[in-house]
Amino acid sequence: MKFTLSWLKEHLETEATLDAITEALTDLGLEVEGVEDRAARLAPFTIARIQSAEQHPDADRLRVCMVETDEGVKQIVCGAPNARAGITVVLAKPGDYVPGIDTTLAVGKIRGVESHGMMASERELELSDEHGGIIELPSGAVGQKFTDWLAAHDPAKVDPVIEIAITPNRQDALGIHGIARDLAARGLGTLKPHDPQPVAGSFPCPVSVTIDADTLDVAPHFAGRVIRGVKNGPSPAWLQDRLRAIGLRPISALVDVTNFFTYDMNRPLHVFDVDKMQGGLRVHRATGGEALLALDGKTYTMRAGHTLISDDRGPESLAGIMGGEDTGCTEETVTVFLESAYWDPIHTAFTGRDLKIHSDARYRFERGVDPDYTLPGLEAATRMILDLCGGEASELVEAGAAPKTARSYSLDTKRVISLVGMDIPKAEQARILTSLGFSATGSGDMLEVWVPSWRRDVQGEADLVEEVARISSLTKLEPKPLPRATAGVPKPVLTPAQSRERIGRRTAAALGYNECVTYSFIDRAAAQLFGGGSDDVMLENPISADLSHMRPDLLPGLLQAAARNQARGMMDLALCEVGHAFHGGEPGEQHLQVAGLLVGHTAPRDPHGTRRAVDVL
Amino acid sequence: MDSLDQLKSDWLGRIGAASDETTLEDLRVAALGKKGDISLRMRELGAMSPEERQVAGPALNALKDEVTTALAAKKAALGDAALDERLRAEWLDVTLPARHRRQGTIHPVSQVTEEVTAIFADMGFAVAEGPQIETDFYNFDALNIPGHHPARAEMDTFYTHRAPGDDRPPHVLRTHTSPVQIRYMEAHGAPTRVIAPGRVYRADYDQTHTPMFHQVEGLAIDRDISMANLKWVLESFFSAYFGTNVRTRFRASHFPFTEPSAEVDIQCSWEGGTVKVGEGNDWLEVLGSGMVHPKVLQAGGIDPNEWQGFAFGMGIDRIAMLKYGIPDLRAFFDSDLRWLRHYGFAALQMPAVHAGV
Repeated sequence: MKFTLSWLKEHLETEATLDAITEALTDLGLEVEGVEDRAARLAPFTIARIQSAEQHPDADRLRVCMVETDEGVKQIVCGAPNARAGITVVLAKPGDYVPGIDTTLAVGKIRGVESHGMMASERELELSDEHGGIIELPSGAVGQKFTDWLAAHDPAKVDPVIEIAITPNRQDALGIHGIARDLAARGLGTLKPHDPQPVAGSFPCPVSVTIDADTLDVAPHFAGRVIRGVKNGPSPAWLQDRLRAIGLRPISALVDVTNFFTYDMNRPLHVFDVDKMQGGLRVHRATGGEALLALDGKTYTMRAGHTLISDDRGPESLAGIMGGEDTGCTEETVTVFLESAYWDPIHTAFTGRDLKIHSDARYRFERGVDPDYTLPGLEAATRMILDLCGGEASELVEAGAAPKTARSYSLDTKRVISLVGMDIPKAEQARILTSLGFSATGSGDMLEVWVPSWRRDVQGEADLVEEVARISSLTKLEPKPLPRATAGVPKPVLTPAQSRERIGRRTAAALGYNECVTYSFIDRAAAQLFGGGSDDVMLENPISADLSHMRPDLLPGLLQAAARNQARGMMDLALCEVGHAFHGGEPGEQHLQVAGLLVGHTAPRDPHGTRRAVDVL
Repeated sequence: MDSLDQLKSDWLGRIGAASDETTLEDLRVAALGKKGDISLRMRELGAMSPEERQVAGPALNALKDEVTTALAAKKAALGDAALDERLRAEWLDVTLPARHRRQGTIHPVSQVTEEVTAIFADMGFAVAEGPQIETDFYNFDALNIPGHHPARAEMDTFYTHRAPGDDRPPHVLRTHTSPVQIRYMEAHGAPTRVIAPGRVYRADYDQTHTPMFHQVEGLAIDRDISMANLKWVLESFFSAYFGTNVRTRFRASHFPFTEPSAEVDIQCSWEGGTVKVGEGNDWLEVLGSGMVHPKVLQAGGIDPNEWQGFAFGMGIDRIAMLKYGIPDLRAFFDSDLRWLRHYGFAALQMPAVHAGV
């Protein structure tokens, strides 16, 4: 999951530094996998102004510029066609590393004229592919840091991109709002409220929606509305910049809005072009065999039970996974149906796995989206579409209802001490839970804790303990000795069989064998030579045909190891292995073996004449 | 007196001609022994008149002394010659190479497994083993990873073949050593302390992944074991294993089978391009851990209202690489003789806590 710092700050009022934020994220269990700090690379560059630009005495295309910098006036030779007196430029000084040309500058002589730095183009600073000339800034004072100027005038260019790994339980952190909530609970700022107000529809929704009775268990809630008279086209620069920064390709305003809410609020949405639809939308189970050309350009054939959204013509969308190409929105779309629905996580996971489709929508629905945000998300997205594309919104249509997820658990606040070993006062435990959106009240040591709709992972007291420990930081955990189970000298722990294994291994090594560890799987032909290779010990998904069957014996693996060594010129070998071989495909049908082999000669040639070919005796 | 001169030259001649010590000894007996020539003449002195004796006595004694001296000199000369002959004959070139003896080695995985076992045994942990072909239930369901759980898809599980008509879910090659937890709890109940080292499998192969590798699982169940105990156990372990004080950092994380869960980093430095454990201010992720999930305790037949405990799992190959500076995981399973000799351990180098592991 990627997001930019400024996007995060849309949800989090904070003065915290980037480092403080990334450290907190990792500690909270949202492990930072990388930070692309684009400002860091631009840190040395300052703003300068060209005082004068004279023709280079010995080169037609070069000019000798006198440049006002924070360190006085410098002479710089420049080849850019737009280098001229009066313009404000970005200066790289000797000693600065210029990323776009992978060079650290030095004072140089260009055709006999000394040059103390360079004025950079956008490509040289890796801001864009623009290399028609040096950067001309419309404002900026000599000596000002270029990154400060960018932050004020073009923040997307220096916005750090943070990438975090999300464990499968943290559905809420698949939206930037949820990440901000965690940071706020940790004390790194204040979560900005997000409370979209309903948009009043000015006409009844012309598209009807229904959910078949036998489908309600996997598709409990489906809502949407038509927005007519929209003007679709490229989305505004701020939206494009954000999507690009996190690795998404801007497509059109309508599609970009759905992608925006997918990442912003973990609320996947879909837009249908109403003019390409026939009749209303019906959510139902596939009977099997229906085909759908999806937005990825591939045609998928349904199995009975998959959930589809169809109109009078047939399937138009794969519920919760991917929309159909036939009703997709284009630049020409003027009437759009905006869908916001809740799809069952397990059902979505199975369907996605069945059809082998990976999409942002599937990824989120199978981990769970907030069932209570289906309608607010629809309102928020409606508003953004109206803002960006104009048009007129219909009334909302809705089938089914949000599944009931409200539940509470009793939390014994002493459990945090007993389970984690951290002494956190009850009031602080309640504060943490409340700031995460739980409600917590109670008397004595007990708290009655209600779980918010966006935390389907929280299923009991231990989960609540985890939330408290996580937010208050496990780094504060102080080690506490584990007393010995019995007093005095520890008793031996190895079983007789484990001791024998150890003695067998070390005896073989003492006899001169080099112990190997070879794979437990080998090719069928080799396995068959040693009485194995049957189907019950065959892997369904081996990584290669050479590693397809569980070994019936250690010898074929050692023989192959010997052959590899011979191919590398090592001819005299004493190899052994101690490990399990498999005489069947059921758990426990394995037995421990010690195997050894001698290959080649007993010794290298020597003056004593002891070398001889090895034999079985 | 002529006869004495004759006798003298006779004996001295024979002594001079003696070629070995045996002959010389025979001559000594023949001349000076009880019945030797010279001894017999000495005896005759008794029968002589005092005048005769005064002349013959000193002469005979002089002869005896001369022959005795000659015998001793000859004996010494023969001894020297014999030694010279032995020195000449019994010569050995000690600079020759010794006869070849094969030098066996213990694989780093075995060595480190024993090191880990020795340390945890000292803290009272037994060693458990389990099947490498596992049921879907023990590898997943019992560990609170139901069929639809995204963690299943992320684990790159190897499945075994199912014969047509066999409708059970396919068995798996265990993706972690955690199923041993369940089997051990079922068999032994609580309280318990156990580690489970062994082979595990994931369908992945690249620079840092092999389809088979080694893990060690740890499990401690008692009435009041906490995560703070876990931290102490792990810090004690790493300090003993790396032979230097090692701090750990616990980070919140998520595993289906533990709650709360933590990733554990060990303190290290990256100075000079090599990793040094127990120094510096950087952190290296080495294991996953947490408090055993109530559902997992239940699956193991243990009442979660009465018992609690911790579990952890770490890569044996990985900690072997860290401790012994082995750069490439794939080479562990290649059996290249040069690698086995270089990274292997002597048969007699048996890990023991008292000797340092």
